[in-house]
Amino acid sequence: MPEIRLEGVTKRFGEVVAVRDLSLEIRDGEYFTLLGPIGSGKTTTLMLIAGLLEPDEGEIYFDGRPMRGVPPEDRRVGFVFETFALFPHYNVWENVCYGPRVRGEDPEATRKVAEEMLEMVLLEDRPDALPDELSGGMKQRVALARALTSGARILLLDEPLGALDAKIRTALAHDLRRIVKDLGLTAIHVTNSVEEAMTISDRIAVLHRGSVEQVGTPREVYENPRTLFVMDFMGDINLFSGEVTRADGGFTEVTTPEGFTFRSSRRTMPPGSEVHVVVRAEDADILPRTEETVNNLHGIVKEKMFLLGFMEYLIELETKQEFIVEVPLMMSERIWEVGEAVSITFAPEKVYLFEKEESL
Amino acid sequence: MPDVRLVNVTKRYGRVIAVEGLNLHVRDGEYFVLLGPSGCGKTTTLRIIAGLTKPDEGRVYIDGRDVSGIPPEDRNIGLVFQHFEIFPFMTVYENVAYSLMIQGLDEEEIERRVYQALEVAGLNEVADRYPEELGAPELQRCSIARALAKGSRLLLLDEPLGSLDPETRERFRFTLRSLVKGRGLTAIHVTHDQEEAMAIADRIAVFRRGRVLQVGTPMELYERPASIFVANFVGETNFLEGVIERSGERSLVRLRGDLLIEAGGSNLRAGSRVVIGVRRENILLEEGKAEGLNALPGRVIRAAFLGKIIRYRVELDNGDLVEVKQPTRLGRFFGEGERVYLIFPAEKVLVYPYPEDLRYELALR
Amino acid sequence: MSWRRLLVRVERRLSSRGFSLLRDALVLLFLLIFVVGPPLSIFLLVLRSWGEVYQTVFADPFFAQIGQGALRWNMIQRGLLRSFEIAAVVTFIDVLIGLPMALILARYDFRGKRLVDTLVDLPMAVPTAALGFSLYLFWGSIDGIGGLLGLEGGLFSRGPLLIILTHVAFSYPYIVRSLKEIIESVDQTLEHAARTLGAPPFTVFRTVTAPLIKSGLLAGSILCFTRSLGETGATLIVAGAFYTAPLLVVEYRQLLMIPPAAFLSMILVSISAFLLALLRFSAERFGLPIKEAWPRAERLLSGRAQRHLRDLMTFSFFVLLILIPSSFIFTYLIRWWGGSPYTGNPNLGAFYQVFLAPDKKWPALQSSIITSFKVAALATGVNILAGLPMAFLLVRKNLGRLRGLLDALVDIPLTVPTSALGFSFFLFWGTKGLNLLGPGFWMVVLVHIGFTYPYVVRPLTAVVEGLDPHLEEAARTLGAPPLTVFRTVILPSMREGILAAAIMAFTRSLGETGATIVVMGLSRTVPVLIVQWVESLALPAAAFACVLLIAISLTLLLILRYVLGWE
Repeated sequence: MPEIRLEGVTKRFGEVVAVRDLSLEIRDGEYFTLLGPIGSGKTTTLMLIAGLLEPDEGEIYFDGRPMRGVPPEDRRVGFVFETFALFPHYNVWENVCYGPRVRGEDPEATRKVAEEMLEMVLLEDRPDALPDELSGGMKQRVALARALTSGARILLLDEPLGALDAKIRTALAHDLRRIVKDLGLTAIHVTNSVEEAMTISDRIAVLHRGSVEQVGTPREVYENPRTLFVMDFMGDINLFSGEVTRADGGFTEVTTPEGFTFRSSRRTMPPGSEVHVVVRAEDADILPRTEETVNNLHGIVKEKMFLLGFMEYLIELETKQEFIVEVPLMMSERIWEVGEAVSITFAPEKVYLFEKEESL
Repeated sequence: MPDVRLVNVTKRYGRVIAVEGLNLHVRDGEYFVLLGPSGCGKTTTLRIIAGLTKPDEGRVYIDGRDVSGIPPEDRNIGLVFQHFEIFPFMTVYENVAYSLMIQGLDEEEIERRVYQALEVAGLNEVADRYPEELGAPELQRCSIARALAKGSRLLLLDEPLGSLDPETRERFRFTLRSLVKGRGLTAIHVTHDQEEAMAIADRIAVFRRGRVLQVGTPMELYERPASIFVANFVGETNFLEGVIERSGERSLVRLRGDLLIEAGGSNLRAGSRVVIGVRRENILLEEGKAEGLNALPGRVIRAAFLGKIIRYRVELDNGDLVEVKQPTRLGRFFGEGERVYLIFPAEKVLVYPYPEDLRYELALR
Repeated sequence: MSWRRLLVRVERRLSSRGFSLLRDALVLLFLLIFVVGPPLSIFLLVLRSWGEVYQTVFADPFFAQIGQGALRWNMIQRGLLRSFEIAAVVTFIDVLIGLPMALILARYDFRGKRLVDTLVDLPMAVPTAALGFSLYLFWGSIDGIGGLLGLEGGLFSRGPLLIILTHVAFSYPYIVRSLKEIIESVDQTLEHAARTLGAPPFTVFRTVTAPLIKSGLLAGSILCFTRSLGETGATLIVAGAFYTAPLLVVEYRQLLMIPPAAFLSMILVSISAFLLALLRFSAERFGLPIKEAWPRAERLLSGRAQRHLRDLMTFSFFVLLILIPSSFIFTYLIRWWGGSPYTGNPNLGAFYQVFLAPDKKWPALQSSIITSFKVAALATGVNILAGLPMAFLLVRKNLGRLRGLLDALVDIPLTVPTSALGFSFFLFWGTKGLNLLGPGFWMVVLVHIGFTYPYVVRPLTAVVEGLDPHLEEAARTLGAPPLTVFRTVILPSMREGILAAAIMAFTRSLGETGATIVVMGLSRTVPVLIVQWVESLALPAAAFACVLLIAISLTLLLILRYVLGWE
């Protein structure tokens, strides 16, 4: 039922524009994530949706109903904070029952819902604990239960996993998604972690300086990044710039001032265009030194690092530039040692091109 | 040149034991990481090496010299803090020059060495700025430059990447490591982030409750974790309960629902309760069984596309849940609801006795 | 060897354990002798001359003749009772009008917020004697509201009502300031959480903010209470024939009736010790109904119109009760500058009285300003020197239960009425005690050191608590011995904090009346001079002195605000 629409929303703090002409549509029952670096306006957007801030321009609609002037207590949204924001002077039970109580709802019904929610977050055995006695993960689960007992159909989550340890973070991410889906809620989740966003979301909006760069499913955003910013933000990249020297047969060839030649089948651009060329670390492969020159770079292994399931290599090219390559262990025949002379290769469909005007 | 040796070091706070009977040897020129969950004693250990915390028992040797009675200002160390601890009322230049001023060097010498350190840290352009004008990555560089300028060959780093955002953090790993390696320093780095430890370290010591559980290279820890705690803490591992049927070079374990799998070596008594561990990235999803390999049937209940990998959550036919990470490059996708087999070789299966104390942490029944 | 290397070498030597022990011992000794010794020793002194005390207080032979042997005891009792009544009413009014103001300043943004914030502090800049005088002129004289309403005299005569108004005015900024800080310390996300859970603003305040600030509110109220209880300077001017307990101390002292003054001072010290204990161990339990919910009523109270009404009332109270009366003295001085506005007689004007009249008021004022400054500068300087190591001792040494005791000792001068405190110094150092010093300039200095001590140590302690010990550890690992760390890292980080503490102590010393009046010899400080001029009915001249004093304090406070804002 709850569908959220933002139309041309702008919010300024003094001189600073935190959110700039932002339009978004979040579908009913969707797990939606606002992803962006610090200062990209994602938390401000969330607070605007909650009614904790009012937009300077634009309008927010819940199910087609404009929300301007509706105070947060009447919006029926559940807000989950990075710092948990549990009332320290109430125990778990009182925290969870806070919403229905201040609304003056029937105590018997409240008790039932609260019990149900505590059970759902696996804390039915700790109703008398004070927030200070709980671990971070438990606190966040109480906060979630509290947001849900207030009858919210929209769940707003502001970096809900940010203050937790890595292991707990993964487990809670699964629980969050499960609960949202089981209860048929609409969730908007704010995070600066790409991995978290990709794991948990149906769709993602990538935010940059208060504006939306791209909206799509995790796979769409990863496979077809619309801007250089999105591409860079989503993972480790290698960036070059050069000029298109040939374009035919669905291939675009770019030559860089260093003399590298890249061939891309992703996009056709007229010869003479100034472009950025990007190759993802995980899209490149390492071979013994070859003589090939197109989509082939030569260098020496400078560093190698062990990531889970991957080896990450830092290759120093002959031009002293550095190139990062990540190879899945499952697929690599051998491990390259520091000092070895190697070639880096990548397929034309993995060479991304962006117009030069865009910069990071 | 600088190696660090801790002998029988113990530190208590009241009745809480922070570090107990600790023995460690960090070799010259090594990038060494102290890894463990919060409260495991790793920071205390670093502070003991720095001289900021006095151990109750035991000795610390730097370069073979017993430094037990020596205050931090007289130990030849550089310390980098998680929150940088840049002096807010001094410029970047003055911060980096601080230790040299204390030593009473002449201005020219100071200037030369400060600019050298700033150069290495890539901070030349912000030398005259005040810390409040800088972002976290620059502050961290400044903090490193300040420690380097002092000229110590032993660098101690306390969660040095902890205050950086995730993107910067990953890039900084390379920077930090090549800085240490390039100048031939010895580094001792504290972190709770196992991924960071695996990426950056020559060797890692895994801490738990004030004790060292295992010391080894990242590969050793990854492939041969000495205990189930290490197997769980380092890397991402699935744990399944079972009973050992046959032990030896190749052991046989019966999982719930009478699923039989071949596992690595074990000398546990047949019939005893065990937990097996399989790394998420060591499992291959297939439509059918494979000859000579373990194959567990199940159903995909969640598939998440993470870019270079796809993460699956699979419910086995016996009800157990297993997480699987597949490189996207394999070019295979399974949708939610599809039936699959989990394929993995016996030598990738770790076998441990059932751990009562980790039941909740490992979500065992 | 360069001087820098030499300096570090000296500092290394001085960082040794022996030197730091010596320093700590000296700091504690200072606290005992110069701050808490006098008020605590008063019990001993009263006990020692109990016979004399008993006779003058409970069985005076003179009054016994008319069957009133315990006349003074009755007076003391009445004075105490009145002081308590007044303090209670003042505290109640203060919280009532101060809490909404604190809430507005802490949680809302509006145009002109900085101005209101500055104006709220205004009475702090006005020395209490001047404030009392200004309020008297506004409420109690024909030049003020009385004349405006067409009355023959002031609206209120001197007495309890005027005392209450005065006390409310001078304690208002303190309560607003402390409540504002407490409210700001409550994590705003808690309030946001409550809003999104369905609680309207008033409910949020009652169920979330209020419970979290209640101990702070209690502490603020107790402090407000003790300040009203102990106020002397302003009260002297607005009391008329009415006596509060601190005024009785001044009165007895001026009549050289030492035993009853000592006895009353002892009672006041005991009461403040009790209040201090209450403050420290203020039970978390004073109930607010936080489990109930009245959704309908509170939603109504949270309405836009109701909020506007609350804001309007808060501001009107502030303007009418505090702002205008406190600054009325400027209007008065302008009107009375050249002569009487009623008769035009220039001899009644401030200018004539101060500069031309034969009794030479100008030189007296000049010399009292110099005295005031000397006293304030000495007291401030000594306290910074003694207070800084004390702050470190309190924060950094692992003192355990001793910390609570030391904190309480430091706070004693904060709660003891200054006239009683001053009197205890008079006894301690004078002929009844150590017999080292008589009333006069140096004793004034000692008293001012005593009562400004907590005003220096408290903020310094807060600053030291705010220091990041990791910063010092960073300096240690970079090769600096502890004392070098202090010079190169700690002091620069504390600069603003030290300046703020110094200005605070300086203005407090500049404005103090009660403590000075009981120990002074011939030299006068400005507030004392004002009281005397008011008593001798040279009102325009007194107004001139007030404005001059206000101007000085205001300048200092503006510097303080600038420094703190800059920080």
